[in-house]
Amino acid sequence: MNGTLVSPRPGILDFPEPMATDLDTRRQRFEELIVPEMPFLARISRAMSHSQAEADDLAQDTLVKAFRAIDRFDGKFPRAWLTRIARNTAINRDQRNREFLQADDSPIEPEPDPAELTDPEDIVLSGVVDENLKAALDSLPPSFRTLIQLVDVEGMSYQEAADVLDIPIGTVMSRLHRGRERLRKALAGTSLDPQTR
Amino acid sequence: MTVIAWIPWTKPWRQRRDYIICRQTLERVQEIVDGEVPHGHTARVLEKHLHACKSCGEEAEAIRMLKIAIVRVCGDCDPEAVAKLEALAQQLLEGHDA
Repeated sequence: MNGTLVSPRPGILDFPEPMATDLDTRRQRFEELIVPEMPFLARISRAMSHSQAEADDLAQDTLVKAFRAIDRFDGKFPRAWLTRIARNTAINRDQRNREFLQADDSPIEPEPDPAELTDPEDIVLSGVVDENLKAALDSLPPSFRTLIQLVDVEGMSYQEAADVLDIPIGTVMSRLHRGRERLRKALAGTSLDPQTR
Repeated sequence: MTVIAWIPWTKPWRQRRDYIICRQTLERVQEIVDGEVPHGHTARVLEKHLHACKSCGEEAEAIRMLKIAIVRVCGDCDPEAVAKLEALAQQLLEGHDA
């Protein structure tokens, strides 16, 4: 024996990094894909709910479900995935929302009496328009409001919105049309009304 | 029975064509504003009509204005709600699965 140390074969002692546990992988995916979408989740939950408190509950339930199901998520389109979970959670929440979210012919509340509107000169101010619009949006059924949120605010196409809400594209178009008509009627006499311009 | 023959490029033919385009544009104005009409001949015809026809143009403008106002009202979310969600997400990441 010459006693010399033979340097080991290159790479033989280079153990690979310990494999990430399932839990670690899940946490990493959740952190990368879902956590950045918290503002989106808050907005979409609000659109699907009647009040902020209800929206908070819906968003939190959705987040927990998303965490538990992250292994089954393919990593594409986190917003669409979150919207689908939120929608299913909202439907399961109670029978009232099931009707709102699934039925196209859900009743729209009576239109406001134009006489109730204040002086057009006063409500031209954008802040007042925003308040009127906010109130009109709140009076819409959640199914209409959710669609308006997805298409107008989140920039989804009709097909994407139809896919995440599991409704036909024709229903997307009719709900959008009816929802916007309702909003425009509520804003009659304001700066958003072509008649006043 | 009276049969009306629409002879191409005559005045009645052009009037009827314009009327039909106007109807089609009004029916699809929402799709046009939302960018849902596929690029092509139809989209070009409808867009051209939108610029030429006052009532169709006003309808499109009203929808555009409404969309802008909706983004202004709904584009932001409650910061408190987001903070709660971020705190919950942190708890989940730390292993406190609710």
